Amino acid sequence: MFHFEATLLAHLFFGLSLLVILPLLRRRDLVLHLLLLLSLGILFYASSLATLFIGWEMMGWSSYFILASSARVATLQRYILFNLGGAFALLGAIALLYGFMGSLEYRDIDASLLPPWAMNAIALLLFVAVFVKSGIIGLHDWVVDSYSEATPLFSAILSAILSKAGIYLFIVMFMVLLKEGATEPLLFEIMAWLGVITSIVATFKAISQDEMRRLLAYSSIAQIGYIITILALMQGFALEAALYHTLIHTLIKLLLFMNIASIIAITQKERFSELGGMIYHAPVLFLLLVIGIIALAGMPLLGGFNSKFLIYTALLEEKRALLLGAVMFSSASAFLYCYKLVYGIYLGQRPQEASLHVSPKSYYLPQLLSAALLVLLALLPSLPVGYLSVIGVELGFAPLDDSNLFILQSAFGSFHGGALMGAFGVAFVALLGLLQLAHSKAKKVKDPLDISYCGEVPRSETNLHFGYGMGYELHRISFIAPLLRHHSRVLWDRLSLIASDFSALLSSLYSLSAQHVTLLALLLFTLLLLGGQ
Amino acid sequence: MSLLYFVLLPLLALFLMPLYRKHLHIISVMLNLTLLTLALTCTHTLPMVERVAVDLPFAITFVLERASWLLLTLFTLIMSLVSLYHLRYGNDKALFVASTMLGVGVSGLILSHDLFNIYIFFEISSISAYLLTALNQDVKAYGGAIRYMIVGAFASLFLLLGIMLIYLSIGVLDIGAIAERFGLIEPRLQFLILLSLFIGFGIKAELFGLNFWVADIYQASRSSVGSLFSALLSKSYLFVLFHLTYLLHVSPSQLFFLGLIGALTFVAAEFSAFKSHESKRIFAFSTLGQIGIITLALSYADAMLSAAALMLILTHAVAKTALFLALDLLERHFHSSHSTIFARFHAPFLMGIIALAGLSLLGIPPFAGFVAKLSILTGLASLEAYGAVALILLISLIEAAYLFRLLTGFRQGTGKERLYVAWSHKLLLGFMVLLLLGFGLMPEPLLQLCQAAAASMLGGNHVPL
Amino acid sequence: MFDAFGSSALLHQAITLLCFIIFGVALFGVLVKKNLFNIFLAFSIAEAALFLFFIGNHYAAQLQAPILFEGLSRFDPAVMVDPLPQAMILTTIVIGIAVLALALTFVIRYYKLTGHMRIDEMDELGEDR
Repeated sequence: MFHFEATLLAHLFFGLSLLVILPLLRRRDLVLHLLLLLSLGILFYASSLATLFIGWEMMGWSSYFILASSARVATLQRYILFNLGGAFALLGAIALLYGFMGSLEYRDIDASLLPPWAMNAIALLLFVAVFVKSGIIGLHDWVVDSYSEATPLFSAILSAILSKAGIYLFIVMFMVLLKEGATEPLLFEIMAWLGVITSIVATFKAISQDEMRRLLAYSSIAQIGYIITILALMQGFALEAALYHTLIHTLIKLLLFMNIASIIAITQKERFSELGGMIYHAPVLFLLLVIGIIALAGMPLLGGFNSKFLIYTALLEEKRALLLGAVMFSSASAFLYCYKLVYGIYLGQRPQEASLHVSPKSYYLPQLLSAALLVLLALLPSLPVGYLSVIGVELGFAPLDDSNLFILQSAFGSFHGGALMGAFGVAFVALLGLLQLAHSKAKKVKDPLDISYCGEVPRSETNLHFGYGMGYELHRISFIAPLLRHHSRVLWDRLSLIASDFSALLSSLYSLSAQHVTLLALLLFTLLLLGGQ
Repeated sequence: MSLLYFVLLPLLALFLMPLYRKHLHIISVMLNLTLLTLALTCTHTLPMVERVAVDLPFAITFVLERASWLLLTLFTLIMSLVSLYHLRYGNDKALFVASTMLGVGVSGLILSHDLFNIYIFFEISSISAYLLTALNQDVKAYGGAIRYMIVGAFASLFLLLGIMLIYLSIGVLDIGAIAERFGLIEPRLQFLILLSLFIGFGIKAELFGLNFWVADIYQASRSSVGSLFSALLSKSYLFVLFHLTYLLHVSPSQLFFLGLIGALTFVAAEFSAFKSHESKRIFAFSTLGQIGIITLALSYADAMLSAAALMLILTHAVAKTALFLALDLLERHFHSSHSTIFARFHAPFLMGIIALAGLSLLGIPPFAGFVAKLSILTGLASLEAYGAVALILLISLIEAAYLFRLLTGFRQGTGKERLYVAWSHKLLLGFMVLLLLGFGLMPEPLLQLCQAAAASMLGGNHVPL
Repeated sequence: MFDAFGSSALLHQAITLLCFIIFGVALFGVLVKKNLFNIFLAFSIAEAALFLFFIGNHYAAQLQAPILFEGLSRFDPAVMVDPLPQAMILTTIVIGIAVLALALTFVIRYYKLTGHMRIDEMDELGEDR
């Protein structure tokens, strides 16, 4: 039997969380952050389902208490209820498994003994747990608010690490423990589509956001959506693509959230409409953000392309053209919000009467680290492949080729990271040079409001830069507008309303007078006496 | 070592009250710690039988086996903790009388092996509970006590009726003898007897349909008294109810009915707490919810599930005591128990205690409450009671909603008052949370005790005359 | 239902019937009366009905009272009625009196504080109180 607790997968995930959490430790809430780290350790290195669940729940409540210092009560309620809902679904799956296995140790679990209905029920329960944590559409209601209301540093942890717990759970349960189980393939098919639909919807929602962290939160949901889609293929290539993307996404989101944390620290502003022109004030942050969004968009030149490449080829390999098309559509749309990030914050006009502070130096370290890693991965795209393919082998898949660190191999071909980066670099420099030559006569506009040739004279408070208001036009597109208008929150709010009505009804029973209480008891007695036996 | 000590020592302490009128709080601590020690020393001599007989029918029989020992130890532990908590607040005659009598009542209830003695201890514990409710001596307290007395008197009428019918039909009161001869009674009369006993104990054990008085009573009494009600009183009645249920070999359909009542208790209580803003009522509802789960688990008459239910009784008692005592500190400070007080103070240690005890109550790892909940869920799953598993998990979400709403107050709001918590109270509350954490991380010894207790409870451990 | 109680069946049935009529009246009082004093009085009546029922059903015309005096040195079921119910009822009466006294004390205290003793006007407990 395998000895899963020390697997490389756990190392990978725990390494990722160390990467994110350690630079962020603050004196305030240190205990809670340490508890969170401990819970992740327990989760990743568990050797029984009970321990796994302990880690899962500790992660939930320790993050809740960290979040509770800044978020609104309604957000907190949603956060804990969705997370506990997922956790209880997991607990249900564990209890069900115990009913058949009589043990909770990983090594005692043999999914081939499960009857199909039980396997499917367990799979559905686990899906709920995974989907809640990953913010799959319908179960994502808690994600965006909590990301945007957390302290800027904690949103980085939420997005970069805690959102990955669902992915880990999926891999551990479905690719290791329940591999032999007779899960209905249709379930995975549904999961793949849910993932991609989530990513499309979330991408458009991201574009239409005005708050920086809400945009990034939707972007996180979209990126995790790809990972869910690709994992649902249950294939070796797909697993490695998913793990690669997990790695890249962690780096990107760490970079971007820390970048925005710096911006928030400098300006005390959260919205694109209140920002702009920060490039003059913080050029280094601008460069770091550009690295982040190039990677986020999955364009060649930086690490983000590697995982996108693996995802696309894995989908091709499985001949899932429709899924591939959908992923590409969503991925291409992501350019828009990347653009909004860079333009809305750094370019354009600087708002008036903005008093600026200094960003803490410690915020730069995680950004520099992840930017460096993203560049390194662009040069040597096969660097993590060896590691990832060992994990794949451990889970029973064929290894990937990583003989040349510069070349990323996939089923449908390969590319040379150094050469690609060089070629794009040369092309970029050449293009920039040409532009510079062509527009050498362009004069620098002294006054940002000097656009009177447009026929209108803006007042000084009119915000003119391109990032401002971007995404509003989406509301006019017939097939996107409904996505933006409708929100699953309506459903959950109605559910909570029903619960509180029911609650009011029942609690009125508990305010009855003593006589009515005895009367009810006597009625119960009589009813049972007459109808009982 | 005699089992009578558990009843006679507190009674003696009550009789000798004039000798140490000024030091009742100290005497109370000494008494309860002595009883706890006595209970612990019984571990190796179980099961124990003690019979004080004039002539054979006129005998008082006390039996201590694994299950009642577990509860007796728990009760003496909780009594010790509560009396230690009150040590700081000095001499309180009414509290001393009422709580000592409550100790006599609940110990007698679980030790007695004949129905009439059970009735006597039922009344003793009821009277002390009325007294405890009225401790505050204000309108709420008296109003609550009067309500409690009306419902309680109703319960004891039905209990008395059941006992009388049993004696009239088979002429014995010893539980073991009743268990042997109960089958001889005409079935319809059997049903009437079971029903009367169910109403009598069900009201006091706070089961659905019979428990609509509970929230008012908890609200009327002091928070520290709530811990006694929640940890001792309802649990002792529940224990006797199920002890009798198992001994009298009730039919599977009647067990199913009990399970149904348990599930209803759970659902109704959790939903009622959802909208409540009075923290004592919320904790009362949460107690009802746990009682519902315990009843549901015990109704399967399965060794594993009963062990899990006993475990839940233990962990819930400790967690609830910690919560109620912490709430008592808040109530003494703010003179209110409205749930908004949770957002009005700053005391990191106390907030930590409340949060951790609350997590244990919810059955969230790594606390002992989780072990109990997990055992119940796995036990239900291995009996293929998937509906019950789903119900417990779903409704627990409601419980999470209101408990976390209370806890959220800690991190929110401005202008908090700094609350001073005495070292002795910190030690006491810290001890309870450590207990929960310790048994959460190393549950094996406790689980084994519970399994042995469940086996003895289910095994029909009656002592033949 | 109650014919398993042995001899004097008719007498016992009559006592049972009478007692349960009293019991029913008392329960009616418990459930309907609004004055707290009347409610507790009704509880006393209900208790008394149960006592009568129990003792009455152990009464047998040909047997002696279970009192030990000269000529009667031990409990003998052939000669005297069962003494246990009487002991039980005595104990229960004592308990009943104690509970009633406590209840009336509470009612008096409650009356002093609020100026009324009507159960339908008790509104001091509940949400937001």
